[in-house]
Amino acid sequence: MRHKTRYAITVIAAATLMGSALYAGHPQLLPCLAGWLDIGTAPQPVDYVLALPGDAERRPFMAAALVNAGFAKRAIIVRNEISPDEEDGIVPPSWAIAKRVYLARGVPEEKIVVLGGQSNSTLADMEVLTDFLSKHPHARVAIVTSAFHTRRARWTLSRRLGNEMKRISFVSSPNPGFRAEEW
Amino acid sequence: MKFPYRKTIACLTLIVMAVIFHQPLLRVVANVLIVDEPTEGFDHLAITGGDHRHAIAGELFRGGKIQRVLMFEGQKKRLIEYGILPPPNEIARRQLEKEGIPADAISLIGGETQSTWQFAERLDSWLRTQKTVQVTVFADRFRSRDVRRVLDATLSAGSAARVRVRALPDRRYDETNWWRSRRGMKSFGNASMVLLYRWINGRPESTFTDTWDPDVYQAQLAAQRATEP
Repeated sequence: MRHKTRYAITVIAAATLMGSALYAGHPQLLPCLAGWLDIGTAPQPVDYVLALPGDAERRPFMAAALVNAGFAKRAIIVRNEISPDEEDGIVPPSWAIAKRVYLARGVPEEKIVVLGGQSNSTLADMEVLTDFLSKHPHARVAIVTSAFHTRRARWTLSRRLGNEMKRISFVSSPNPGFRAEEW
Repeated sequence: MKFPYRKTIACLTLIVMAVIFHQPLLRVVANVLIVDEPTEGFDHLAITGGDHRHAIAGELFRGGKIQRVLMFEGQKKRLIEYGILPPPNEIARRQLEKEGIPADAISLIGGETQSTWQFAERLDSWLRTQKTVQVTVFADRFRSRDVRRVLDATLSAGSAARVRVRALPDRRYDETNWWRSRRGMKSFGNASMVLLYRWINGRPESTFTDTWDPDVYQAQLAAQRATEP
């Protein structure tokens, strides 16, 4: 009985100590966690840039800037699954919005490649890209996605591409609606 | 005498019960996210979300169950500035007119509305000037409890009683089958996180301003490219 009581006191004390340490260190710890998710690098010259679907307020604008500044020769758009609002004609499909962004930012139409499919997840986006890369064996691609999404995107693609990952780089776009330092 | 393995057997029993009764359990869990109130007599309508929201508004208007739709000015986003998308209230107005709701039955309530909190504030200000009006609020089904909580936290008690939330189901899933599709699971997960966050933190302090500028970014890239060998 005494042994059990001593064990319980030790566990409670350790948990309290650890909880206090985590609470005291959270201003340093939490940005580190966000930083761990962001594996984006500085842009390098590539053949194609792909802005992953989602956050059309930033990702395609960033990809368009990469094309316009000469870092990417062409932009790839992945068609994705139609949402209920898109199905009802309330808003255009997200791939069409991305294309409008490229055109509005001055990317010529002949530099925009729209890939088919009905992507509905990062995994499906990466399958479409893997298929494209198999037909373009020397192409290098920069993937633009939100900073906190880059690690997951790389992990998903690396499972498909393996050694071919050296052809891929990731460029982080700002996270939508929050800063990594204070998420 | 103690029965051996009693903890293991209890755990296994729980797991087996959870597997057998997973459907009612998951339904109960989803129901926590939903508030769907009777809206008979609440003849003004405000829309925060929900599938088929404009079509249902049209049906209610044609059936004489709503007299007026309140629209709230949306956020001025980059896609709107570039003319890629019309403002959300313009999109909504077109859809409502398509459903047979005339322009003179639609009122635009001014002031940028970026969040459910701001929506509730605008609605509260408007309700203070309309002492007898009762409002139905359309909400996405899994977000409806969150909408109700925000309304209750923002509106005065008298105003809150004059607002009812109607939870519109998504065409692809609802509380009886959300775990069968990726979309359903994602929606359930997001809505649960939002609700949990609100329970813990209440109203967040909005300190974020999007300062990212595509022109500045492009100029930086061009300068960088120009200096490369």
